[in-house]
Amino acid sequence: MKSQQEVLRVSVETERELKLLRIKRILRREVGAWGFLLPHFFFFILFIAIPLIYGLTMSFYNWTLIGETRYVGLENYSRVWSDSRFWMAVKNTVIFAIISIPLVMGVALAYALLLSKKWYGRLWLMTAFVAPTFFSSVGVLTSWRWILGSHRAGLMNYYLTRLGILKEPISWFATSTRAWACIIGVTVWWIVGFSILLYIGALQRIPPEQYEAARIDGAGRWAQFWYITLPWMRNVLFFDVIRQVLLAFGLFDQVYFFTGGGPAGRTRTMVYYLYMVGFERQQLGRAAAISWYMFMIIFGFALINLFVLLKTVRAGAEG
Amino acid sequence: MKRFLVFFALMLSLTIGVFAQKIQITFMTPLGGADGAYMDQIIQRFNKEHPNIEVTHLVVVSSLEYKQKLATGITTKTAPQVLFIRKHDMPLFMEQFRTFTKDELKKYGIDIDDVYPSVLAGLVDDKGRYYGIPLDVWIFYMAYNKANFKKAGLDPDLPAKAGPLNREQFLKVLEALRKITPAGTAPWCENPSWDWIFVHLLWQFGGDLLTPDFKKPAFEKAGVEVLKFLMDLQEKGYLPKAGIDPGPVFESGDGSILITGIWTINPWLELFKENFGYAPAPLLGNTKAVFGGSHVIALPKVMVEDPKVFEAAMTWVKYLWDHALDWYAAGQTPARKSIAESKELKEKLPHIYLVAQQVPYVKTFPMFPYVAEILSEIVVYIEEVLINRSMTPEQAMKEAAAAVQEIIDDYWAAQKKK
Amino acid sequence: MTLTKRKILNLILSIVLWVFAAVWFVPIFWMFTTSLKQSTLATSEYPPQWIPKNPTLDNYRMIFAPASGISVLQGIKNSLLVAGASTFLGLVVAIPAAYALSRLRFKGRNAILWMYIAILAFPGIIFLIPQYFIIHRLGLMDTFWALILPGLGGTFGVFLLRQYMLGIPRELEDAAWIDGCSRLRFLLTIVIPYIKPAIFVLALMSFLGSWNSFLWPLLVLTSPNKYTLPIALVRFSAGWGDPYRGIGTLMAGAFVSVAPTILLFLIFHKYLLQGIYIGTVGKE
Repeated sequence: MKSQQEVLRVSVETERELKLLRIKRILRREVGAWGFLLPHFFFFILFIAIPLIYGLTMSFYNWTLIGETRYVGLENYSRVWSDSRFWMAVKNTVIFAIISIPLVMGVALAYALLLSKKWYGRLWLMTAFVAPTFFSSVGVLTSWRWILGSHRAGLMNYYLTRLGILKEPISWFATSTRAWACIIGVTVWWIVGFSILLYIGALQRIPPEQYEAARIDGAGRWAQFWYITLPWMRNVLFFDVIRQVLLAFGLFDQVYFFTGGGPAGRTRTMVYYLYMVGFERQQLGRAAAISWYMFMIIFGFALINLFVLLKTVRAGAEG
Repeated sequence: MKRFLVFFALMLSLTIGVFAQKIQITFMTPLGGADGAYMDQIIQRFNKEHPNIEVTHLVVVSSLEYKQKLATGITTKTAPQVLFIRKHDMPLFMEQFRTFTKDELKKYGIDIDDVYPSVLAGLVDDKGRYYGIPLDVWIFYMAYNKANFKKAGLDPDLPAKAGPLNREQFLKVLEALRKITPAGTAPWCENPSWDWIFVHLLWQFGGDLLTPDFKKPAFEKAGVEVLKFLMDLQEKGYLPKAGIDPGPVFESGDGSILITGIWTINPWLELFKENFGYAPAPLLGNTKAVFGGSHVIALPKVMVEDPKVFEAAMTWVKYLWDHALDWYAAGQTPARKSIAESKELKEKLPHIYLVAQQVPYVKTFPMFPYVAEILSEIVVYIEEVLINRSMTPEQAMKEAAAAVQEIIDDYWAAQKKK
Repeated sequence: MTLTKRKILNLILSIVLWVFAAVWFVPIFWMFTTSLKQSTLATSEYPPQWIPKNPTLDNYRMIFAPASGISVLQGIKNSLLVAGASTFLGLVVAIPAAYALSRLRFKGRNAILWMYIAILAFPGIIFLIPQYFIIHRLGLMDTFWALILPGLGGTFGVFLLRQYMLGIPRELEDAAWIDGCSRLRFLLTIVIPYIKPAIFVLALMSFLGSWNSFLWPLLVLTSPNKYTLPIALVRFSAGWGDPYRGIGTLMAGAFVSVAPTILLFLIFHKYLLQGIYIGTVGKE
């Protein structure tokens, strides 16, 4: 009896001790984890979160930097909501995103797979594909606009007429379909480089034994790609989808340089609208309101994309 | 060694001493490319002649970025001290500029009455104070290829000699040129939906963008006529049917005529040499008008509160005013009668002199803050007509007017409650 | 038989790849050719000249000629300093944060993670003005800190690194735990080498982002001797009304600004191609 009680007491004691120890451990874990996060979190709060909250507040004001600030309630939101130009821009941007995102990622994946094999002069091949990404917009886009120039000596017109594909020089941005094709083509050329680098980085980490094992099991190239390569890249693809969505919805420079939004406003994008109605006018409250609409559209679009990605690409062994 | 160190310290303190006395003036301009280089030279000379002032040239070409830098700079008092600003970028900032009375300007040796009234329009407040000093006018002119004129059997000096061509003459010239122009190109190789050409013609056809009180659009009726005129030119093959890049087409010699800004005149003189023709812009409507704009010198109020800085800024402004001719060499027309009509200009810059004859009837954008947005809205409908052929001119201008009305209402809604 | 067939196939594939790379590079070569031409002649020539008949270095000379007050060389120096510091400090704060968000468990982790991702969906320009006022309030106007600090709060890099860190096999971590390895040591000795390619790509991205940024430095800097390269180069952008005016100088400017970054890429590329095979042994 007695001993039983003693045992009970001891066990209660140890339990308490254990509990204390666990709390201590959890505490250490939490504090430790926050220690890793904190340096970044500090700057995040200061330069991202505070500006964002400030922006949200200002979206209810008529806010210009140099005039007086005045509360206008939901007017900024309702004006944007009822502006047909905004919805046109949304439509244009969404269509662009739907076409360009898979295109960029597909092209990048193909190049990355090829470049991760050993080729003669692989570094130079890689440099050629990646180099466009290094240029800022002005040089690259001026040059492309000129290559796609409407005159006889524009490179595209010159060679296509020489080859007999075109009868006479054409204007590459004259119809909205052609203009979009040019914008998408140049965009792929310009931004695919970083995706290639990302994918090569991911491909390097797939253990070769995985492929060997699959080969012994008699898996073909396609099966290997589908059941090993893609699952191993899942986390990186997840990241790149988001990156591509952001890039697609940030489309501005290409349009600004090539078409200025034309023909007839059919290549205007959301960011174009944001600049025009927010910053050209210096109506920063309106700009903040537009940003909130854009946030909801972009976030929704990104979620749909991620859902599709996670459904199609099998979870990898890497979890 | 020791002596060297002492010498070095002495030199250092001397340079610092000189440096400390220097008043720094940042001069923000939108002048890219060759224009900027001309301005650089003027600044360099000024800095050499004025050891106690140092002017730095900050170039911001894009209007949007220029305005952003100005707005943020004014709120934190870190803006440039002197601006060289496009007149149509000014309306948002009117209350921020240091204003001058006529007499005050006279004190600094600047006679504002010498500036053409058409250029000063909108730059004077109701008490007769000036928001800034227009230094130049950039104005439309007609550039043409003399070799092509000869090939077409035209007198290559006709446009320059006859003064501004009238509509009939212009059409005749185009008809002759069409025959020698290669397929796929038009003799008047302009982008048909360029908004400035539309506004230029709108004024020549007696219309205007907005009513004088900025409450309503005023382009509907004349706009229809302009569109019909341009469509007619397109059908006859005088003007392209698609959006194109005018510069390279003209420079390659395929196209023959452009009505465009004076800023193109230097590179083309250099390229075509004696084959380059320049003339006043043809008058194609019922009203004598030509499209133009101006670079205005202005000082942000908050930046020149210190009298020392203000004096230094005015020294630089006066220097620019006195050396305007050096600036016009970059390809700008004078804003002042005394220079536009001077012998000196005629001798030094004959091409500028010829084009400057149009300045008395130049028109500039109304000083309404949302003009850029209004234009981009009108262009949508111009393109529906001239490029997509999906609307009639009447339909397009009606819808454009409605769209512009919305923007105007948006502006006034924000103002009223103030 | 199959071996030779495979060899031939490989040869064809490599030729195709080279042709593709060449085509990919054509516009850049064209830009370079243009930078060696006189601007007005470049836009008027017919047919296009791939090797300029009268090559000139005038465009490059013009860029490095001392214009009034703002020097391109000084701009390169400033930009190297700013971009280098932004990249380095960015990695210093982002790597531990990514580690915490991928490998450590703590309360609120998922909430923070989703906040970090969601915030990316806001257009970047919207942060511009509030950040400007914060920098002003902190008294950092017209300093290089104003160019470096705001970028440190960006969540993009954290997110990227986290995604790569997720791939580190669990067994590796368990083994380290058993060895009594501290988390910091684990991060330094195992995690960082494992994600080297990602660090390389992120470093490249943030370096380029800082290197090419124009509007932000334009707003916060006022002293000419602190201007970064894009501000010094903007005077060589096309004139107004005609995008091709001065195209030769424009292209020369593009090459001046891209040369340092390409060079850095070539120097450091090996970190990208290093295969990481450690710790894969335990996989079935």
